[in-house]
Amino acid sequence: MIANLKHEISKTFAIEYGVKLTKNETNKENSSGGNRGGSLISAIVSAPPTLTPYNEDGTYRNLMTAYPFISNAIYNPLNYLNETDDNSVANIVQANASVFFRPIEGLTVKIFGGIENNDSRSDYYQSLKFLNSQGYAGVSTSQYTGILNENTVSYVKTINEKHSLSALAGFTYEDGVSKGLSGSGTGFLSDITETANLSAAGTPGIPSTYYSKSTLMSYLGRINYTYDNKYLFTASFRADGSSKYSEGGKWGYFPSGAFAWRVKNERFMENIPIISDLKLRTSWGLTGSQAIGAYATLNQLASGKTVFGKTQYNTFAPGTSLPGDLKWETTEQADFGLDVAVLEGRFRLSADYYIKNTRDLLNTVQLPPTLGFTQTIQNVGQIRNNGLEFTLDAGIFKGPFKWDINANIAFNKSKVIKLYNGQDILSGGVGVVFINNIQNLLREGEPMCMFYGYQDNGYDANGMPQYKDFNKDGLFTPADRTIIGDPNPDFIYGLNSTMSFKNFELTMFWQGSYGNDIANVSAICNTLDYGYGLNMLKEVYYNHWTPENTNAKYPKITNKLNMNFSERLIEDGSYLRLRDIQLAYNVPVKATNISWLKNASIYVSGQNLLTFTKYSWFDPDVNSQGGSNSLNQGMDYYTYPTSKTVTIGIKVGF
Amino acid sequence: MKKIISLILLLALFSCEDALVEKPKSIAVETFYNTKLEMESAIAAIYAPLRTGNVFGMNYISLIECFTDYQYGRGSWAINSDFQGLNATNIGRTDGVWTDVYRSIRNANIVIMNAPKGAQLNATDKSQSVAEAKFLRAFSYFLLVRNWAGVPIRTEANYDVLEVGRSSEADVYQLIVADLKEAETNLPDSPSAPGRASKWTAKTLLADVYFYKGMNAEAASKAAEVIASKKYSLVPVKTVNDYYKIFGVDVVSTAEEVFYIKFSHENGQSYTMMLHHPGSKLCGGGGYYGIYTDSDKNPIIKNWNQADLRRGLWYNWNIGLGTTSLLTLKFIDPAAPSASANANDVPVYRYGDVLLLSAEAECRATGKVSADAVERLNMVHRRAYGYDPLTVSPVDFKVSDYDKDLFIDLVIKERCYETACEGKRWFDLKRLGSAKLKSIIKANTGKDVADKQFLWPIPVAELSYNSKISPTTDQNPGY
Repeated sequence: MIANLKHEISKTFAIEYGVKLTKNETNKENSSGGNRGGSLISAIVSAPPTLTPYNEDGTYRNLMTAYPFISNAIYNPLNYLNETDDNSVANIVQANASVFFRPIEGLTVKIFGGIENNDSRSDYYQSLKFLNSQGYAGVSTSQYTGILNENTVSYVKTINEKHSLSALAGFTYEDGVSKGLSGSGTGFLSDITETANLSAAGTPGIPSTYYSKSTLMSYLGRINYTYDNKYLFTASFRADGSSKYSEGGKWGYFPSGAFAWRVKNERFMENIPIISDLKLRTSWGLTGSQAIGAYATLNQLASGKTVFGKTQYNTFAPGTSLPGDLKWETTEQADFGLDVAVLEGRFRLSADYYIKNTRDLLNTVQLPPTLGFTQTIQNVGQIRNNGLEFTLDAGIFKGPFKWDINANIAFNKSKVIKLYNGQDILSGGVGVVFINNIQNLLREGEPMCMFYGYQDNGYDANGMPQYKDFNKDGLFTPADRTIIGDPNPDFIYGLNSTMSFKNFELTMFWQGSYGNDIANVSAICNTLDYGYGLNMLKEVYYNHWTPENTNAKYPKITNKLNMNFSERLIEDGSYLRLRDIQLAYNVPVKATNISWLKNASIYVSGQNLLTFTKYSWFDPDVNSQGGSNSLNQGMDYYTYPTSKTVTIGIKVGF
Repeated sequence: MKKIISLILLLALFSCEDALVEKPKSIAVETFYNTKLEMESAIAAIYAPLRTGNVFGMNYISLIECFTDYQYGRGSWAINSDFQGLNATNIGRTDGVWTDVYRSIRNANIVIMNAPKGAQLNATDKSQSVAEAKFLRAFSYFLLVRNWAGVPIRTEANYDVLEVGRSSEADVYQLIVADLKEAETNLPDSPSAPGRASKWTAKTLLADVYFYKGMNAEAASKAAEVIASKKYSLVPVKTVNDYYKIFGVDVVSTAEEVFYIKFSHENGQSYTMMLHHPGSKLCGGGGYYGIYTDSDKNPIIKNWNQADLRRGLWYNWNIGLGTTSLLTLKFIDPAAPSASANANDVPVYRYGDVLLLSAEAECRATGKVSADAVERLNMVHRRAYGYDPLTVSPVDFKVSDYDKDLFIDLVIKERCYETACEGKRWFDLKRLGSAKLKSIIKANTGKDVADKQFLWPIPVAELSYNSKISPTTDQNPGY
């Protein structure tokens, strides 16, 4: 729900008020991670096809006791689907008010105040029918309040109709406060109460709350100057102060400048009518990132509980993340661009080349477990990204058969320039059953987040996988690991196509990625983890090691495999996918003489119907562990796959 | 108007440095460790990492039980009972033990460093706090050194140094003994709550350290001190069910508790769940039946006297391998609200341990079988057959029947019965030396023990992030 009010009180005074109400409801399914059937997706893929989901009396089959050798982690997937409920509701209010004061022509003083309030509540319930469950209910609520205040003075002036000048200076302040409360309980007599009566739990959990606040303060200034609508200059400067950084590193200073030349407006272009627009752009600037949580630099104590007798006692000790000295991550970016349009705008091309040098990159760094802390956040080093981006808009056909396309392609190359302590930085290892330390790595001179593991070297005489002695010291040790894959694509691309003929319209959206590798962690349990009653690919049966077939894709069928993260789990993740296709028929409303009907169309559309890829698992568009600060990029680890949908519909407008 | 704006900017300038200071509504390390209550919570934080599912909450004790000759692992635990070293799944488990035990050591070092500076602590508070932390640090290093040999030593002097190399086994033992000597001097006579250390807990651990190292005279003398203190006695048992006065979920503490890791339904363990089959409903949260034995095929179980009430602490359950499969009844929690909320305490030292340790150590030290040593063995043995531990009974062993070697074998056999499922047997066999261990395990399970079974690998995470430990030259043999 959105409302905006603007009121001009006088020539020099105006106020503006806006408010937006949003309600978000989410239903979640357990999907990610797990192994041997310990999560929804893993259980769906791993459940033995030899068993039915239900017992004869209609109860869920307990897969954990189905065979004496079966995995003790495997759940009946219907347990997750039917017997857990996980939903959340968020009510978001965004309100803002501005006061404008224009004492003289061209000068505007603006005071802006905004507030965002996000109240949300999540409910999770596991019913008594869930395997071995006595009922579990958990409720958590969170409140986020953000305040933004902007005070700016801007001035616009045009001199002699050729010199156009605008300038802005200001001060802004914002802070955000997050608070939360959660409670839980185990042991319910009935499923009726679900999460509505936590106090009915046989064993109540300990309620918990949290609080965090961060503040950002900025001084900013910007000048735009345009000469004759041909030369456009921008220069700006901002100083940002963030509470998240250490004393002495709180302030970051970020100047930038840009220049554009609208070549088309030059007199000499008048003789080249085929070019309808031509513009050259360049810019340079620094930007700062504060993508870390609050309090990362403080020595805080975390509370916990322990038991003496049968009574719980409080514990206070530092947490698992070591605080460190942190400052702004700064990116210096230079950009060169060209916009050109020909044939009265029928074909438009934008091309951009950029180079981004990031210094003081913020990243999580793992620590040796003997320290007692497992990780810390550090300004680890310098990286460079450079790339080319093209966007093409084309009206290929005009007339009765009309075809418009919009195509884009982006090439990006990343490189780690310098790591401040000179050593490789390894991501936290993901471990799945017998393959531990599935890791990515930052190494000087290499692209970001390379897969780091062993090189395969066939099988030994017993069908056990072997690895290359990479450092040639005659031993098999973690020092034999090397870079085995690159999760970064060579390029990504997209194509929008709209074709219409008479009343029919066909639109398509294609999207693709080329040259990126995926670490197929999902495949471990269903191609290599033998002896636990898990469902396997048919290929394993036909192509595993035997004394007769020593060059097989899969090793000997045994539960004694000792394997490592190696090239065999790395696959080409390139794909091209038809994200969206829609065929619509626009009913010729005008011919029907129905005056109250404005428009009507019948359509059939499909999402993700076609995917071209060599990737073996179900979805190449996957990044299970890849958050923004995460080094674990390009991993497929039992993520809920993209769904295919087909919709048939009628749209009517009155 | 311009004046107002410049005023706003000016005000902002003045207030901003203050607004950018974080005030997290949490306790800062720098201001803590001053009062008695603060110290108590810092000490409690040393215990907490030892209770996790990685350590005594399940994985550590389960692994040790898989390495016995009277039980077998199942599923992903099965490979441990082949005695051919750890596979990657189980290395993942030992990695977890390493991480959590070192967290306990970190928390101990913080107490040892800060307690002497506590502004509102008197001299006794300070020395007791340091003593309890040193006891727990010694306990942690003893756990580590037995499974990994020489490990990196982190004390209050280097607790925040990023990378530390491996020390020798001898240096680790030197630290353990020094810590325990201070602990036995300065800890209180009785624990301030069940589950916390006292002077006598420290002496028991020190006796066990000496015992494991073969310093039998020292071990016997420490154990004798504990026995002479009359702080502990065996809980009398008449029926199998009486054992739940010792191992039951409601037991807060008993006369024979020397040192247990404590649990409750609100803050429980998963080990009980590990031991049961969901069908038996003996764990309310289901069951992995990850460790089992066989009443017919395992000679230790098969030859166990049926009149021994401890033999009654097992039940036959068909886990898909036939009707002779056997699961333990020692730890059961039918009312556990979930798989990880079992309330049975996990015993580390019971008085029976001390009595048997004393009997064996004395015999080894003197080369003779004394009446006192046989009496201590008999106390444990009588109780198990339902007799009063302190009165002569028909099941008593007689001094005249045993020479040194026979007696030692008898005590070790009794320890096996007494401490089954308590994470003891593997170390009892290890201290006999690798040749004897191999022959006993071969005799009882038919399996050969590979040399790489004796020590666990240093975690790859340690090798990856700690350049002072080389993956090629510092790793334990076989990994």
